[in-house]
Amino acid sequence: MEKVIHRSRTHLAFASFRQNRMAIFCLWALVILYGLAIFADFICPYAYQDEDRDFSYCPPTAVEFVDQGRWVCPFVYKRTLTFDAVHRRVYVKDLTQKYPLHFLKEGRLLGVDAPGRFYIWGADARGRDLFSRIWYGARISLSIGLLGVGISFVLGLLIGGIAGYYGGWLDSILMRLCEMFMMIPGFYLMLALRAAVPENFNSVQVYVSVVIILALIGWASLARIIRGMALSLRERDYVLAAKTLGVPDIVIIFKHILPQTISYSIATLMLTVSSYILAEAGLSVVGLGIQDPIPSWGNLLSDAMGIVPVIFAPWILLPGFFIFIAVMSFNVIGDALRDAFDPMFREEGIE
Amino acid sequence: MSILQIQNVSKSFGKLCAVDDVSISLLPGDHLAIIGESGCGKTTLAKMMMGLIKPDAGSIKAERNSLQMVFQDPYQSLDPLWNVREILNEALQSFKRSPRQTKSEPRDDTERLEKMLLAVGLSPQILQRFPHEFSGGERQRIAIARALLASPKVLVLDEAVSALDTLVQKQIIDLLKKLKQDFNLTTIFISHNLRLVRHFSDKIVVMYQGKIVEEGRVATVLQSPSHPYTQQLVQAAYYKNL
Amino acid sequence: MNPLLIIKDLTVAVGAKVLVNNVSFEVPRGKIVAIAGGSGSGKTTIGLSILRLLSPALSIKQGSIIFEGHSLLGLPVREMQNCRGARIGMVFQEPLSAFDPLFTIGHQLDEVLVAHTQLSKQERDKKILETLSEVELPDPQRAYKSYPHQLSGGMRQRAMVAQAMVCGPSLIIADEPTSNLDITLQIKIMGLLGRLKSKNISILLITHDLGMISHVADEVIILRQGMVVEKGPVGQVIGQPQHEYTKELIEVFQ
Repeated sequence: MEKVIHRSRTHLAFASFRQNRMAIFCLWALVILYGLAIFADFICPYAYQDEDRDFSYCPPTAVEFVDQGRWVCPFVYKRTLTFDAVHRRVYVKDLTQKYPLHFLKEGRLLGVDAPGRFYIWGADARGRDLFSRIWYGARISLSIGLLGVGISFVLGLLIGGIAGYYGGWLDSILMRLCEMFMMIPGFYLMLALRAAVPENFNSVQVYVSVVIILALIGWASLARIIRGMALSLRERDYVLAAKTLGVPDIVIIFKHILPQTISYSIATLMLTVSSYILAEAGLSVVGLGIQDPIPSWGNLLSDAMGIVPVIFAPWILLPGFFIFIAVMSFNVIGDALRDAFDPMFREEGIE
Repeated sequence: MSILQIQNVSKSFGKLCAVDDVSISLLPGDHLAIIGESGCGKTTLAKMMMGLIKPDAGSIKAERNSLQMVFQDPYQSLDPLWNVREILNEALQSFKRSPRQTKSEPRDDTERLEKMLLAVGLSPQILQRFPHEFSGGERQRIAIARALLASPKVLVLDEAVSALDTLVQKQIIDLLKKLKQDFNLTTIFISHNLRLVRHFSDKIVVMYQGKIVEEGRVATVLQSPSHPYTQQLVQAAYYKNL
Repeated sequence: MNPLLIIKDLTVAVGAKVLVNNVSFEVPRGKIVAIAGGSGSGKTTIGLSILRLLSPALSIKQGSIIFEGHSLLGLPVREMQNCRGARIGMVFQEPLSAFDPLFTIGHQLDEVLVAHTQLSKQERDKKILETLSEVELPDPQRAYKSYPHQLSGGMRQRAMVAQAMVCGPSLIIADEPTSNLDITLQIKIMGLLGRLKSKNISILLITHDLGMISHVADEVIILRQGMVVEKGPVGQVIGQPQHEYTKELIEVFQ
């Protein structure tokens, strides 16, 4: 027997992916974002709704390490609100009041005792800690995309697989359905679907509705591609062999045809997640997505819609930066996966 | 009592008539060869025998699930994402579902798979390996094992060795000769290679442009072909002999 | 008369695995030399090495390839490109992938002429039609205007031979030119190769089909797992095989 080891397609694809440094970097970025979101209860000094109106738009609190020339445990000074000549807010450090930073108290990594406030990235209009709201908000923004994509994925694979495998009138009907969904511009479709959701829904119900709405705008393009792949895959000899063995059609679709489409699907999925994150942000910015007080990166940005906050409290734009990081990372990973699985970019490894 | 009865079967694709009024009666123990050029309808006929395509006219009668096929391209006939165990198991489970299963001693599935691998000349250790790890000849052996695990009465070989090297072709033909004894098979060997047909089959049917133009015993037809097309084939094959 | 192509001690490897091991042979002018072997024997690799079309993973570890008195291995890329198509033509195994499906046969043959000659459009068209009829395509005009998928397998194979010979090369490397064809077409291609030989074009025929070799080739080299096992005039090697492997190959054809 020849001593030639052929690596499987998946193995080669992942090896090729691992060599893409940008993609690995983005993968780590996502790991960090999701990690911080999952552990928000631990890393955030405050609950997301914890407000203190005395500290509206307070800038980020500096952590002091030196007290009268000596190194001490980190602490923060109290801030007092004053107004300057043109009635702008100025927060002045009160050197008489020190609040030591404590670690791991009440299940949170960092914090200070009341009435001191510790704003890592500044406060919003109601004195709520932006850092905490960003990471609690991450839970919504990052999960909605994944859940929406999960549903789109299932819908796209099923409908595409069935349409491509059976062909004929079933294929025609399903593809016309796809085209209907693809025809309507995404954002308008989203708004229309959102308008159909009852007004008295509570936040959980709104969340679920948004997930479903996202899933519905995105499944069609995946379904079309899967259907094309299924059309050619159903002619493969191993599919014919399964038919002659009497394997039921639905089993053939799930076990022979759809697995071949996974590599393309996963790459597309990554790209879809990023568009769903943006879609949710878009909905929330116009007030149709997740409602205050529950934060999402989108509705945090709606707080930034105004010249005053942007110029005088620029930290309010930070959620936008994280949206950018998340979206870009998913895009880079999606592109890298697609290139990795594309046979033109690889040599068959003969060892 | 024929094991496969093909009666006046025709099939067209648009204007092209792939199979034109073909009738074949296959008896148990026959080893039939169907020869002809590519595009003459042999593969269409094979697919109709297997029930993958419905004929436009005529009928094909055979006991259910009594036919299995080995395909031409060893690189396309095994699902690349499945390992050998899954590929063979698919056939084994289908056999269990078929109405023809006799009460065989309940043996461990893995044991049956391993026995079959040995029967086709492969090591039983390969169950967890994947198709891309094997050469063309080895893949055809796996495909043959798969077909046999469904316990067919008739084995259809659609150009099953045409994609292989000559030395490997001989190995696989020798294997098939042994298996047809061991498993008591009736075979249909579809090919355009007369040399192989001479080694393997005893009856022959010659197809030309969708129709059967000559049939009979292999020795007779190849010795003294009557139809001009058969004569052409025989001459060409003879010319290519060493 | 110096041989057209001299291969000496050619060794090609991919990483640690040796695909072609110290292979030496010669192709005289106007003769057909066949390389016979099973899969994994390295025969296709030799063909690709001559034209320096090996995939980047493979490297020529040692050896020399001398064509028309010049070493091909040391040639700069530009000159190698001039050589391919013009002095050495190649016929591949799978005609569907050798032709671009988006262009007509005529256009693709024209491309080769444009790249290597200074002929005018009229002269090129004339040459193309001449070549297409030399390979016995039934309707050269029609073939000229056809797309690859519009021709049958046998016609495509012949068109590929036409593409390889349109510039009048002195050597054609044919890699399994008939393996996908029916027997009557195989005979036609064999005849075509014989006619090329009579025009003093040498052919390096790479195949596992000993039957074709015995009818068409003058000399044969039996290759097994990258090594030359036996070589010599066809009549001699096939009539009185010395090596076990050669005997095995011949036995298959009885």
